Amino acid sequence: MGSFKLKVVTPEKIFFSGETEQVIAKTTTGNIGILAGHAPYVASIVPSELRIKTGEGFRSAAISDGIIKVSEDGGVTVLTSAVEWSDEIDVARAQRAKERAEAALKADASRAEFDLAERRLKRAVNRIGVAGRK
Amino acid sequence: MAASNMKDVKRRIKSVESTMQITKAMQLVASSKMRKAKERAEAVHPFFEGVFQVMADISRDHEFTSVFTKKKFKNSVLIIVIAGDRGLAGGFNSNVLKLAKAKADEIKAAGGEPMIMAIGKKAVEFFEKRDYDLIDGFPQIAEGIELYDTMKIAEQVIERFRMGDFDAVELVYTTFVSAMTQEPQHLRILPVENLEYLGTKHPSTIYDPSPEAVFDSLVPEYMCGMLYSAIVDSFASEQAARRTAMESASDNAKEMIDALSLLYNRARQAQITQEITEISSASLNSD
Repeated sequence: MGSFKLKVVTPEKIFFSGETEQVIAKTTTGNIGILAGHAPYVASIVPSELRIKTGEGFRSAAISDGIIKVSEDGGVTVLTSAVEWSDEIDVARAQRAKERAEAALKADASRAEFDLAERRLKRAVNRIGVAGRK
Repeated sequence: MAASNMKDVKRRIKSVESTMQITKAMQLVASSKMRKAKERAEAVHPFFEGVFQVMADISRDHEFTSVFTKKKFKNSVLIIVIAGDRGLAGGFNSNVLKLAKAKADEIKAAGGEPMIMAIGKKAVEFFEKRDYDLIDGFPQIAEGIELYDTMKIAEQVIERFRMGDFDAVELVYTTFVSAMTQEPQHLRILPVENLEYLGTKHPSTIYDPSPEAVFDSLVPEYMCGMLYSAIVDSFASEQAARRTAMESASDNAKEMIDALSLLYNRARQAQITQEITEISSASLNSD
């Protein structure tokens, strides 16, 4: 199977950089799997599981909102504000974030606050769901 | 000089010495924090370049409209001010707050309505005391800042911008030029500028579902990256400013100790000379 260069970048660090056989992400229009030789492509990623296949098999990570870009040279870049390997997720913390977001949703808040809480809830639920997955 | 005077000088030397110990310690702490913060500030670049590249690509290839690029009549402007949480950093806080105040006054003078969002305890205190519309304050988040913190702020700003609470968003913070110089900066972040439609289509790139949708979903990332990098940059600058201030404080303390020691030694010598004179004159008299 052909491989391509994948880079997962956050503002804090370069989370992952290396030769990859496949990357699976969930975009606004659904799941997408990218293999080597994909056409230039850009899409937004929603909070979901990001799966990266290297020679050693799949590795799973929880990703929040971001973007995936296939360049003309075939390299793939994922830009996101937050991403964590599934075995490094602090579940207790995600649980707390989830409870806070749920409380905020119940409170009679403005539309903007409601939207924010909803997004936070989605991210927290995603992190809890992905935690421990291989 | 009398013995009591000598005691006074000795006490002063002691007190200056203990002050110097503190300034020295603060200098060391600041310089190690500065190094770490600088690394974090540099780590943001790849992310930020990536995001901006995609935004530039989209606007280069496609003619599109987005709430985030539309130039509106600037009536109400949100100014995000980033300052430090603590003082004793030379002119660091006052320089950046002065610039922020000047920008807010400029908007007022032009008939607009400035709103302030303050990051850092000093910025919050500064605008609380004055007659400005402080819509939110985030004290003590710069040290050990996490992306989740910035994401919350960025989302709040984006959401309110989309709702039309303000027409533009500006950022005032201090950028780290070198360990010796830090400069207060003023940037426009929303609406997004510096993007140009050149009409050179790259039909090969597929935007899923559409260039507009991708662009709009990128703006929060752009905002989050921008804020995060500004906060980290400002924190590095604060540490650098504190290091410089504490270095010169330590130097001054050293100078003072030197001058006081000279004074003390002179007094001691004078006393010894006087004692010898007394003894020798006494022995002369008894002969």
